Amino acid sequence: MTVSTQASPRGWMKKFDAKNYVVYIGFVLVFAFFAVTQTQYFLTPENLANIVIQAAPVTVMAIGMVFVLSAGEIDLSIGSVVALSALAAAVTARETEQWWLAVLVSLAVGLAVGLVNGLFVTLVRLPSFLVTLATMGLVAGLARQLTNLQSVPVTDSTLVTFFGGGELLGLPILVWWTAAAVFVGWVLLQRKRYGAHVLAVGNNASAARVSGIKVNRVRVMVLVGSAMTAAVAGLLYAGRLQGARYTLGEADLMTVIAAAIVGGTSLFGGKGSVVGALIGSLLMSMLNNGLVLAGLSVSQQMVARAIIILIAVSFSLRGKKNQ
Amino acid sequence: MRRRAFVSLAAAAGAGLLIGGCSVDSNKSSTAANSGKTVDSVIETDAGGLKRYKSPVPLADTIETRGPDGETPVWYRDVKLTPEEVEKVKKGNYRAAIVWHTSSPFMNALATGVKETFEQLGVQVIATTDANMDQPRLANDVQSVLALKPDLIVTIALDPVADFATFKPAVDQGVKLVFASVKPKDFKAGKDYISLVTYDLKGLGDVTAKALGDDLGGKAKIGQIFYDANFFVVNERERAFEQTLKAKYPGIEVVERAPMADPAKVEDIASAMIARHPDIKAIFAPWDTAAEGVVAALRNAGRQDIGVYTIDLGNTNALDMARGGLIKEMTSTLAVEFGHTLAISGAYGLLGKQAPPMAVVPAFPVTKKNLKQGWESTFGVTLPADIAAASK
Amino acid sequence: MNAPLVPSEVGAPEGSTPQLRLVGLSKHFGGVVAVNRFDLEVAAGEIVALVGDNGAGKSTLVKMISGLYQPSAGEIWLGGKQVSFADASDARRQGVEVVYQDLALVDDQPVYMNMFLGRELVKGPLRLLDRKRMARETQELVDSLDVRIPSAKATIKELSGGQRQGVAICRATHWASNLVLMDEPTAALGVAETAKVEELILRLRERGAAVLVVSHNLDQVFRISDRITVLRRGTQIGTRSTATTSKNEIVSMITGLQHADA
Repeated sequence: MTVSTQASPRGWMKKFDAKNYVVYIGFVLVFAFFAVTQTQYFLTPENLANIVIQAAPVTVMAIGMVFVLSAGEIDLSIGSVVALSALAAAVTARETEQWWLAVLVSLAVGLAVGLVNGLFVTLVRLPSFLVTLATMGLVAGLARQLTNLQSVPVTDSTLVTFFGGGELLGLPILVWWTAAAVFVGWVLLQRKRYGAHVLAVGNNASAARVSGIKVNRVRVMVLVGSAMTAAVAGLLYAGRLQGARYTLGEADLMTVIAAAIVGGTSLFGGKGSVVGALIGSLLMSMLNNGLVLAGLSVSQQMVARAIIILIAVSFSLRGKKNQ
Repeated sequence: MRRRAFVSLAAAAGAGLLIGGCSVDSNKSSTAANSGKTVDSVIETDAGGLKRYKSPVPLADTIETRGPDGETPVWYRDVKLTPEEVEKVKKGNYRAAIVWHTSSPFMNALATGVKETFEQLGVQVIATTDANMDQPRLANDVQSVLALKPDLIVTIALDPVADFATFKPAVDQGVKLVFASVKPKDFKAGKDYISLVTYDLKGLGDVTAKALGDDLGGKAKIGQIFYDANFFVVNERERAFEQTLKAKYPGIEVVERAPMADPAKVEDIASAMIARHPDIKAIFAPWDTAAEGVVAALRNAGRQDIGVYTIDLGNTNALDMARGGLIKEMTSTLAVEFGHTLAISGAYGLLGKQAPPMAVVPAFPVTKKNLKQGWESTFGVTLPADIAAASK
Repeated sequence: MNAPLVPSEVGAPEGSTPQLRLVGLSKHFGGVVAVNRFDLEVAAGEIVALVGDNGAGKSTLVKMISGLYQPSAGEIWLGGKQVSFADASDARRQGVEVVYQDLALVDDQPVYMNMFLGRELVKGPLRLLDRKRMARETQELVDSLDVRIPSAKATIKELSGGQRQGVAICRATHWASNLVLMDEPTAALGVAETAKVEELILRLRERGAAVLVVSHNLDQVFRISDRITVLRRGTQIGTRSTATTSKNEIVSMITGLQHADA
């Protein structure tokens, strides 16, 4: 959050740069709107929990994407990684009946794809857009092949509880996952050297390099991180939906990027917000939820959703360009 | 300047939302995709006073199609209510949700039928959703809709295996379910859901194979484009087509069976096919959008001699057929009536009445000769003006 | 170690150990000679200017001293010891700091994060960033060098060109234990800001830093430097004491009207 520190006679109003807080303002407005017009159904604890739960995979991936975008890269392959990692976990669980092995396999898939992405970007020196576009297709093809398009049910009780429908201290476990992801992401970005280096690389890679930051290593790490958050998202899907399908995650790429950007992370690198990505993700889940509850026709839902996101994104992006 | 722009845009968005939010028009029929004047000749009123469609073909005594659990279906006509039952439903002030997997002219026609009948039955449609073919989205939609505590959900499963977990919470909550075409695996009719309504899958394949086989005199080489993805209704109709072709028209040889997953890519696939096999006389595509790609490819190659056969009526294809083009036959079903039957099956569940586990609407061929009637039976409205003009 | 032939004025002023000593430094790229046997000494508390026309080899020289290039021949001595740099980080570790033309600042980050870029202070068992301490030390540093910025917490983006330059110079000064190298420090600045930066550079000298400034601005060179060394087409033409030379002499050395010494 950038707050101008110039002494100004006009006081704090001048310092409050509205465009940095668009997503929070938007969130409150939309929440208030639904709370007032759909009080009966929207404000129930169950429904509010649904909003967080349904957003969980996207939230986790958006946090990973914050690091990627902050470093000046992009990862288009996350949707495919979700599908492949979920299917790999489901198949592993089915064949070995060891839930921890399924989790390991899923994370290994994320690690492998992330490394491939990272190595092609740093060693072969291709833009991450092109590399991840290619791996997106490659991994999607692998996901289709893995079970020949057949869905795999997930019945292991640990997986289904720990990654899906379980509860801890009265809160759904996916709410805990969300909180954990936000906490870890925030600490990494704002409170650790790693985060400072990521932001430096995204803003001015040559400055970072001459300052001794290992720029290529940072790039590989953010891409590995992103792919592994996609693997975790795959586990969350497999647990909650109790099954894995080759189309999982297909629709998520745009939502993830939108959540990160609406939340204040810059597409051009150098600026990122983990909390903003959370709010962006919740905002979109809340929109989906609220518009359904409002009984809008499908066309109306699509238009309303698009308008709100367009406004939020345009103001987030203007912040960077108009210096 | 920037602040003003922000405020005015925000206000516009707010206004848009308000207008949208206030006018819950879910109960009004939205046949925007197939707008035309309603045609009365295809409509009849059944014993219960509800609006139904007449079948353009005679209904066979026995139906060969079997359901996913081996059920023997009944014809849609046998799903009906008595006038007393209709009154009882009206008194119940029931609330229903429509949870779909996608939007298309066909699905819109279905939705029209569902809403028409609900209106007649006094059932309020409280929510409509479209999962855009995304299975997790469907799960989310079901979960959101359940928060509204509906009595009934008219819906479809995208994946029989994966969607077991999607709909189980609805069963647990005691919400009645009626499925269009695809239901979750291991769900039992009468226990977990009321009924499965679909089209005569075997009939779809039979009718298309027959049209193609007869047109080609029982002996020719043809090409087939098939859907290389896991989607029950399309996979089934293709299987029926292939089986009937093999059984009844052994002289028809499928020289190439090309896979496709994305209708937008069909044109390239078809072009390659006719380049490799210039001697084919016809191509079968599994649904209308795919067929459009085939037509485009054939036109580009100047092959007006190859016929295209498909399932489902679409505007573009109908126009081509009306002009005497490449589309020779489209197999169709009663789309709006499909919706009526869904709604009535739903009412069975609301009344606690045992419904037939599966009901089907018939398949019938639509060619240039009977385009007008076929269209009207399917969609219940007159042909769009441009197609009607071209038909003359 | 043989003392090589030393052209006039190459050596540092009498009585001080040179912080930087270059002996016969050369760089070839294939068949092209970019720098040919460059000699120089820079003492602590001394400002030496490196001048030459475009393509003279100034930036190649700077890159060798800062570790970005490996010399093809010759020696580099820092603080009386011969050194070699594996890379730029190695050079930094051995006390050479560079103020680049483009400043190498991350403009979305505050001044104090830039001050500690790549060397951030951490505290606690979790090794979390110690922003308070970095901000405090930065403020002290900036104040001690009289660089006027709104605050150590201000974002670089909010600062003017001259202020950013001040921050870059502060950073180099803070970390340099042997040498501060500046490449065209005021090239992008206006008159007033240039004056401020020159004052800052002079303050560095007062604090005892060894400073090597690359500049094409002869007026500036005459304002701030103690000695001037001239490069032309990779060859060192000569080194003069600023007090005893003239602009004309330097210009003719740069353009080639005057040939190399010895």
